[in-house]
Amino acid sequence: LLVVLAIITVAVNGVDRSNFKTCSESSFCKRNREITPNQSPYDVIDDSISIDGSKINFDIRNNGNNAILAATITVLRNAKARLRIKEKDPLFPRYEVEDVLIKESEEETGVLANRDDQGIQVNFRDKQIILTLKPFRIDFLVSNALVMSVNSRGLMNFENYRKKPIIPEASKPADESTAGAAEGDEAVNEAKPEDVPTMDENAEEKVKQRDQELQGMWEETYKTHTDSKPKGPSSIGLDFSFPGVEHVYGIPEHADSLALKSTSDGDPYRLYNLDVFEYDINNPMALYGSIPFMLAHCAKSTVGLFWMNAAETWIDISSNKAKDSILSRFASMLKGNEEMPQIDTHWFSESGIIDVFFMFGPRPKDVFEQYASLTGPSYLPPLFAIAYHQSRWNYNDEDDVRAVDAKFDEYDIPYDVLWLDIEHTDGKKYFTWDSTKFPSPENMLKGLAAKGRKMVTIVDPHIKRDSGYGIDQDASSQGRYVKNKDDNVYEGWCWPGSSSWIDFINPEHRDWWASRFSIDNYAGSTDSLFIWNDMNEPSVFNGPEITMHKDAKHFGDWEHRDIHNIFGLYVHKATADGLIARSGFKERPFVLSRAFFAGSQRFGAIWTGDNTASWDQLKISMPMIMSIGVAGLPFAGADVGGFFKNPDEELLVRWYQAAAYQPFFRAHAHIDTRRREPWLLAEANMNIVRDAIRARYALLPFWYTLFYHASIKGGPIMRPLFVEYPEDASTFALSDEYLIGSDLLVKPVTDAGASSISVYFPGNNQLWYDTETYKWLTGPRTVSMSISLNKIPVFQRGGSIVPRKERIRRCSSLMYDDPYTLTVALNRKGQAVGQLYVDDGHSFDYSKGEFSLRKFTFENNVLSSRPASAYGNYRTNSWLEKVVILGLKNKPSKVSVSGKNSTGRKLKFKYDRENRLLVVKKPEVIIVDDWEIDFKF
Amino acid sequence: MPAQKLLWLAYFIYVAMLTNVSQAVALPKGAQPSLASNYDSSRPFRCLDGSATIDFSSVNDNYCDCSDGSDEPGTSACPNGRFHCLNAGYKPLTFPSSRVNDGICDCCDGTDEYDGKISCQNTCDEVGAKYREELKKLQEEAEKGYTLRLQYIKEGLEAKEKNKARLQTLKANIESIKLKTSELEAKKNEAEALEKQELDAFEKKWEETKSAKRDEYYKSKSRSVFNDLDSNKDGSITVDEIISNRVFDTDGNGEVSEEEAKEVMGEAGTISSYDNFVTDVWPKWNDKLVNIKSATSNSENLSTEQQTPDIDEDNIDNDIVTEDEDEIAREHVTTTQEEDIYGQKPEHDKHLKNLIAAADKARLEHKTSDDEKNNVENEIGEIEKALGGDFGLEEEFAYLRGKCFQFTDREYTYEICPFNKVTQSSKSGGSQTSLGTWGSWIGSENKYSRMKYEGGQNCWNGPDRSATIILSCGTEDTLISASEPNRCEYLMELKTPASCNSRGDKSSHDEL
Repeated sequence: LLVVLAIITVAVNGVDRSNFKTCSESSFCKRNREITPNQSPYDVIDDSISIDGSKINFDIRNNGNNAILAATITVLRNAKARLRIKEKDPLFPRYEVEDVLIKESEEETGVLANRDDQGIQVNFRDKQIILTLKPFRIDFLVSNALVMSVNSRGLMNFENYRKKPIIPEASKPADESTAGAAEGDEAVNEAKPEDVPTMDENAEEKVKQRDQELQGMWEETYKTHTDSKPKGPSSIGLDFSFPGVEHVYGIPEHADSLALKSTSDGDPYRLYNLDVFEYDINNPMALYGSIPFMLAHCAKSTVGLFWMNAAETWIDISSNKAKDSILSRFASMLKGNEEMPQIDTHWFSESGIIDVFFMFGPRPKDVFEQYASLTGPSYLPPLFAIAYHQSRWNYNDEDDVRAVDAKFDEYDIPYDVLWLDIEHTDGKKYFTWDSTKFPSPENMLKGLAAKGRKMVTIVDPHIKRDSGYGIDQDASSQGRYVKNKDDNVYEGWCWPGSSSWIDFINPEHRDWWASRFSIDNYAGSTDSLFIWNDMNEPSVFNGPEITMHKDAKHFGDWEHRDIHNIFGLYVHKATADGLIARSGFKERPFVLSRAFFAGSQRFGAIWTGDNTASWDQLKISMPMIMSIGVAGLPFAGADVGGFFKNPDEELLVRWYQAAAYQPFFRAHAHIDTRRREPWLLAEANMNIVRDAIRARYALLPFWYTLFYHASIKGGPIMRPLFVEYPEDASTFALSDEYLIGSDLLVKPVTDAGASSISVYFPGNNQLWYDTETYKWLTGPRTVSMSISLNKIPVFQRGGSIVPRKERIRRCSSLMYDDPYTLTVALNRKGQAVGQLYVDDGHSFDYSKGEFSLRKFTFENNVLSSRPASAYGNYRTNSWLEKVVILGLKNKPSKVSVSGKNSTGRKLKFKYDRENRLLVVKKPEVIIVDDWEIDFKF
Repeated sequence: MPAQKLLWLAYFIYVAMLTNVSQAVALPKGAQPSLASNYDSSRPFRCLDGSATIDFSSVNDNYCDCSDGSDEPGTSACPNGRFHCLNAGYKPLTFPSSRVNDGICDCCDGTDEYDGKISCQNTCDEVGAKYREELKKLQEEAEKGYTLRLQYIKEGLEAKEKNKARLQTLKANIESIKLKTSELEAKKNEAEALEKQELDAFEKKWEETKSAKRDEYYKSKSRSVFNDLDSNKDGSITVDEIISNRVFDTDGNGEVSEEEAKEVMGEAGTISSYDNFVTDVWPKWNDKLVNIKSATSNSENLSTEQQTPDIDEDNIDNDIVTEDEDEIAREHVTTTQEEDIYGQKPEHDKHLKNLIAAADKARLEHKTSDDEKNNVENEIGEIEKALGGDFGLEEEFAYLRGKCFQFTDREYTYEICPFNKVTQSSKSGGSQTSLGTWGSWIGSENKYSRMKYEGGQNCWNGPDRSATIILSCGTEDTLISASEPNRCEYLMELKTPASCNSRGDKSSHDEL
């Protein structure tokens, strides 16, 4: 019976996979996947090569059709390189991604290029780039070790734009053939068949097959939708191999493991922003966002790859042995090590150009910084945005909002932001309010703001077609909508019914959109209102794969197929720009987006979309958030409790405990679910949830400091263990525990009824302290420990200092002036260091030096505070109320503080010998001042 | 107002005396007056949970020394501290000490904000006046409601006693009624048996008469039909003669084909004589041929060629004569014809009439008695249900039975009929949706503060609808709100005097 039930459950619940293409249902995916390896028709044209400083320009000939491609390799500063391949003389322009790179990348200096008979060798610093001409191939060496090869498997493919071949009348499909041909009849009449295999008239099967291929190239039908493909086939593809590597990461968004899996037995990983209803886990299906960035890591080296293309993209991954694809001239490297592993990857996109960035590490954090120098580090969110968010589809009306707000105070649970989903609007017309349910939104917002709280309303990019709706009126009359293939306004179905989509590709339309968020334009808004962009993949209920038709037309005559994956980023960006402009360019924005692309980290937070209340989905949220973080977007989270379905109390409690230690912390639920605000739990469970949320609030200074560092150097905040322990191979596939920054190790409990948990503690001779009991353990080892429902296994690294504010108030802004507690966890040498970043928590003033970055050091029995940055002179009244020292073997005889206004003031303290714990009372120095606390024994 | 202030002052003096503290002024900031004796500045302070003893100077020194937070009632230092404000002129308030010096005025006397970040006005007089006014109103209401409640209790209890008495009576009567009913049933059965016997004989005889008359009639008709069909009067019937008669259109396509004609005439293709007609054709076709003949002869105003059936004169709308009306016309003809053939059915004889009258009487008497039995049984059931129901500790909710209350919002009208059902109907029309039928009392502290109605109409992809009714004291029965906080789980508030539990009860209004 159980088996039967399980089958029924699977059948009834979960994603309807038939709504989404498999590779074999996508003609360009099929074509690229079927390319025979090691027969590359692409050769570098010998006399086309020119070397210009850090740039090598050359042409590539496709020996199959003699089409010429123009290629450039550019060596960039900070251990990066870029490869661009375009058509030399394209029939149509090809889309090149804009607005993703933050600036023109600086070129490397001191680049030496030598030619030999096989190709070009470029030397810079400790790196070499070797360009082989026939066939075209690139190999990258770091410190004489081969780390990456391009086209070493010969899977390169560049489908140049061409005229449509004449399809013999007889083999046309009977229906609609005239209509289809009429589209490009000029091309049909004049064109000669090109790239079309010669027809074997006797083999009817072959004709059929060829016709099918042609069909896929010039027109493609999926379910009831036909893609008119007016420009024909245009895909690009290239293979990249990583010798010595067994683990690759990134390319979100997939509900899959952190270490990516081989795709040999199934579909490739797909990047195509899609609204997937009740998505399934452990598969390579596309989800809401796409970041075509991959990290390849092994104990010796780490490299990164960024495939800058916004069209539908698929990535095949397979394990291999390096010897099978190594170039003869590197064979010597493999001597005695012929079984060196290798990961092969094959990337292909439907249109655009080949534009790839290579990052050479050598360690994960180096790659993160290199990637951040291209697409930008994460933005620094306002403090409230990293606190706790309470959402639900929907809080029904102003009374409901007031009641929920009051309940948080009644149960003394802090929260910063209350969210309103689509039902707050007048008929799903964004920027409006349902006047019966929300008659006085400004008063409501002011009521929340009086307690320092914010509100978020949802604003989606689909606009209700309603001539009485100002946004539609303006967008219609000003021509701001995306057009369909026939140059009429594109219409589709979404929440409001018949809708059209603002063409966010057009910068003018983005400016117009941004201006909608001014207090004047957005009636009922105040400066404590922030925004949520949902459905920006874009989701089109009646479109192919629930998204926009690929032949829809955007600004610049680009087809939707060219820009699909970047559409959501532009919505996010325009909205964030609107909030910034609203504040007179003073305040940091907060915008949550569901769709994302490389660069989205600059505009706000993202979440993992419409997940489900199940233990499996709680588990998968960790690798999902980490994969997104590895790809440069640290501010991510999953709906606490699961969006669909009702979590039982234990699951909800465990989800709160996990999410309290994840970057974006929001509870959200589907309209069909039961209410699940913390006070609706049994009292004991409510108290556990309360403790978890309060623990988050206490750690806000720690989180905020990490967000500051991410805004400088990029990289994830919720880090896979291999990021901090890159040589420890046992961490490479770990994704059920993680580090916040480098100092807190978290192992959320994600199993029902768990009574024990096994935690891996990394680091040779590394001490780890339980943040609750202060018991210590030494790495590297795996320890099984018994746990109860109220336990969140969190451990502080010996050698670190973690700042907290332990006075938990109703929301984060009310804690602004509060004093700090420093927890100093000593390493084996009795040392520890830590940092604290402080600013006003909301404005851009920090960028003008209104911040303070402190470094705390415990060394030689002195805890000192010094500036960690030459810049920054922000003042705060917050003082140091408590110092907790973990791992102190002896009781001091005297503790005294010296600072700005006092020297050697004696401090009270308590020592717990059993737990090697010292608590120092009230040093009462201003946290951002220079001071020392001296421990005498 | 000054009088009020004096009262409050008196209250604090009273409290101070109770706790035997000579220097009430020395009570640490935020500490509860009832705990004043624990805060003696001349002695070290012992945490209220006994976990530690600290210098008195550590009390309210903005650092948390006690695990129970008792050393810092007046600062935000302890995560579990409680701050108490006196709010003279209003009512004292105790809340988490994390609200001290957070920039929000929580006490009307402003004592929770003292670090200079914000300056709080003392609004206690104003707030207190409003509160007292509200309280007074509530007390008046409670009083009024309570009086009504007493009345309802009285009525409820009386009704209960009455019901009990009535039940006793009914139960005493029910057996004799049952006996009487079964006696009358036996009598009825007897009379009906006699009646049936005679009636059956009568009907049988009539059927026999009819059968004989029919044979005779058909026989006499066969000749004239033959003559009619034999339109050229040559003593035989040809295919053409058959084809011209629609009676033989067996497939109903509007004309008689040769095949259909041959079906009538056999392969030979002619009916050579009247004798052949009578033996081969008449037995199979007589019903139809008799009818058609009569039809043509009954409507002489229609030409014989006309194939359209007769039309009732009342039917003026000639254009839309339908097949159905065609059928009706034919049936009418058939009935008329029956009387022609059989003559009038004879009347019952006197003996039979008497038997039927006797049976009718027996039936009526039995029915009357049976109805009485059912009524009594129903009433017993109703009363037992009522007596078995839970209408409060003192029957105070009993009077709500059979009543219904409505609340209308923007879209819907909600109706609750206590102890029966809850429904919702759209203002724009459409059918009523059941939100549940009476389930049980589910209040937690006071069982009678909440009602649950369950098993309403199922929600698509969800649970059955259900409704929870929160009852509170009011001077009249009114449904004051209805909402759907969870999908298909409704919440309504009903004010009723029955919930006014005591004179001037204000326990449920403390939050105001």
